[in-house]
Amino acid sequence: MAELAVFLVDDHAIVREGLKALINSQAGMKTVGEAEDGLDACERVPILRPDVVVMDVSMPGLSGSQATERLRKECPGAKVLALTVHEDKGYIRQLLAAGAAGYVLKRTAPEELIRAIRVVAAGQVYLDPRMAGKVVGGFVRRPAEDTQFRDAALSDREVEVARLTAAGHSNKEIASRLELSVKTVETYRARGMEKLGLSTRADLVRYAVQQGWLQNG
Amino acid sequence: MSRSVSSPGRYPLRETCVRLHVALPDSAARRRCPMAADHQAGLDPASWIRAALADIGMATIVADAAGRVLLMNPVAESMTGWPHHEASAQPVAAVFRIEQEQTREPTTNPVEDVLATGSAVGLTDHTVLIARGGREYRIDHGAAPIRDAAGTPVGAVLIFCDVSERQRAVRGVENARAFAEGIVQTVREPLLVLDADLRVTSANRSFYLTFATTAEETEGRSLFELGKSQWAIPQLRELLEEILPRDSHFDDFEVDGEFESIGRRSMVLNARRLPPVGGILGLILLAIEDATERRRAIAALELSEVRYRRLFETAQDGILLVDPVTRRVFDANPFLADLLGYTHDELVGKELWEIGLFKDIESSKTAFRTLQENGYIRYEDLPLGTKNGHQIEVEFVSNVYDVGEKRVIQCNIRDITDRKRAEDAIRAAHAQLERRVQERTAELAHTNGTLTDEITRRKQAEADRRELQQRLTTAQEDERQRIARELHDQLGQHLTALGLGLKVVKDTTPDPSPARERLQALQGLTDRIGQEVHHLALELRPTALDDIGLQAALANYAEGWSERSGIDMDFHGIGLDEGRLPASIETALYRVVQEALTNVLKHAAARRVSVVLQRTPGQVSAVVEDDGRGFDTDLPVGFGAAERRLGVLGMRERMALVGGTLTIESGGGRGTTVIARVPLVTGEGQ
Repeated sequence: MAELAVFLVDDHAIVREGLKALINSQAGMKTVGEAEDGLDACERVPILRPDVVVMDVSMPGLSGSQATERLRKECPGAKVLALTVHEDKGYIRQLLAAGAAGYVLKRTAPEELIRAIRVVAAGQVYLDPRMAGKVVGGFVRRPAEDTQFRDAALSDREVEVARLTAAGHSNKEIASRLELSVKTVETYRARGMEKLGLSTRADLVRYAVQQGWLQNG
Repeated sequence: MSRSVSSPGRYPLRETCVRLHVALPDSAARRRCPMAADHQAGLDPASWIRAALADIGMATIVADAAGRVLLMNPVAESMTGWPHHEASAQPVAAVFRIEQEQTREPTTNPVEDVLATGSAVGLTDHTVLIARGGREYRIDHGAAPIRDAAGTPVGAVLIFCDVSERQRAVRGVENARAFAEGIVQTVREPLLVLDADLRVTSANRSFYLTFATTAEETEGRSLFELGKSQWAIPQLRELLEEILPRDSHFDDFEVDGEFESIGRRSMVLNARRLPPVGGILGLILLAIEDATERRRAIAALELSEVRYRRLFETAQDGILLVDPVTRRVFDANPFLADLLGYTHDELVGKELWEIGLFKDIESSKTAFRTLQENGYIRYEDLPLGTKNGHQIEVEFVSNVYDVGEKRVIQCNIRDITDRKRAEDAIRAAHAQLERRVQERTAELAHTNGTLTDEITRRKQAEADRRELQQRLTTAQEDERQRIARELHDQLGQHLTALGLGLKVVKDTTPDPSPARERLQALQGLTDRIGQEVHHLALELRPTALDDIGLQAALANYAEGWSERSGIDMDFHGIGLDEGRLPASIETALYRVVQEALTNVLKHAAARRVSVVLQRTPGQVSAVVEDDGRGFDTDLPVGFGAAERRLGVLGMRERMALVGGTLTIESGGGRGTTVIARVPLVTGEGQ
């Protein structure tokens, strides 16, 4: 079995050195080249055709996700493993959407990094265990439209209060607009939410989206 | 012709004369007329007979036995129009042509009758003599025979006289009576005719109408018994009895009394004894006038005059009465006399210009002309000199009116000196007030200008402060961002390199060995440092906020916050996939949510928090709502200790810097809702 060819992209030389030392100390894998930014990588990877590209996300010039996207087109055989200090879901989504096969935090134990290289080289997706929950949660988590809400008959007043609350109005504003007391508005809101089985304002907003209440702002 | 009416004057005398001539043939007459005896003695008519006939005042014609004219005197010549020499030997009928007055039939000649009968014919009337020239005379005539000694008629004598004048006089009396009776009947005043016993002979129509009585109740009765005996007044009786024997009268005797049928009335009586009529003496004509209405009118007029006089005397306006013809004052009231300092007598007889009402005769005349033409004249403000040379201001109103036959000019003069003075004072006061208002307005305008300047200055200061705050905030964020990046990119990378190095070294170390365990521990330490650096960088400023966007950054922060705090977090973003918002707004909202969540953690004791990030075309908002204990927000903004403690001022400031607002709703036990809103202008955040 041929050794895994790994290409390193990181704007920090010291990190590249560390990674190179680690990878080359492993059996069955070696670094075939390195670049210090995305643009550089896009030039060299199609030539070197590595099995895995370990890509830092935050780099000057072409960013990690942009570089990933280009590499996926120009060199589909090279799996991109994103290496980052960012733990935000947004980054992960961006990278996965761009075609990254895996996502590893820099502060993850080196052992994890080696395992990740092997997993993506095998054609699988690797997610840092610390991030997996977030990412999966994000995918699994209800896009509002899909959520099933309890059917309940709300009074006109309850609907009106719920709609205005979801649109971001304060109770006082709603009271003034509907010519009710603040207390009454609170009561309508609580009763409406209880009928619908909603526990938070965010729930109410999701319900409003599904009902099409927020179309006109 | 009525013989009962005795005519005064000449008529009886003439009649006597006619009788005398007619009686000529009688013996008595013959005695008194010796000439007839001479003639009778067969003598030719002598010239003395002609002379005697000439003296007779009545027309006389002597005819012979054949009825031819023998002699005629000048009166007969004149009336018949025949001179004697032409009439002589003519038949009497030709000279003496007569007709019956009413029928105009020729009548038989009296001479022929006398010659035929031999007896005298008496005077007949209603006969008209037609003279030779056509002139007519109403005549009385008679004829008698002339006999000879044997008594045989030898001729006749015809005597006639003109009665036209006498008849006219008699008719005049009759007409006068009818006229008088007509007047009595048609006169509007009640009239009574009383006889000498003061009984009513007759009464007129007006009497019956006025006293609502009848002829039966009136005629033949005593005046004093009429009606309710209202005329039985001793004085009236005296007056009537007094005028009865004399040709006398009385006027304007007044009787006030209660009258039958017509009530209380005032009557004025005039009485006059009538001239004797037909020999009846002592008729009295009593005229009665119902003066009740006139009395009342007079009384009213008198009252009105008294009132006018009182008004005139007491008026607080000067009043002058001027004769329009002489233009001289004929009366002035006391007020005017006092006003001008003249006595009443000094004013009377003066012309208006003399008391300074008009400056000279000419302007006075002009004013009078205007007054005569318009009947009215008015001067609002006329200077007037008093007797002692004092100048006063008057309002002058004058008009002309008729008092009976006479025109009168009345001038009302009002002293307006005080009023003018008051008006001047008011004008002056008003002007002063106006001036003071203007001054005050100017002062206020100045103050206002100062205040406006101050406000502008303060606004500028506030804007400066905001800008400074903005710069500070930006600088702070920039600094944080720089440090966060430094932590990630430098320290973080170094730590990564360190960790990788440790791993490589560890892998080359015998396993197990104490060195390897040490290296393992160092690796762990490096990992913890990395985590802390990451957290530190996140707190300082999440790189996601710059690299990905507000929603990702907030969602991430909320999740981390939930993990650290153990409080349930429900985050929802909506409408933010459209594109990035301006960095300042994203930062501000991120910081506000961050601060709100810090407060929830510190103070709310909440079990659940929800964060809603919402973008609409015109606005972006972030709502943080917890179910904690809440706090009192009723205090005025900026005064609550809670607000200070909770960093609400900082949040408000953050919002204000990006043109947004912060609303907090909270109440005991009802949780807290923080709503941060920023309006978006078109084109922002694309």
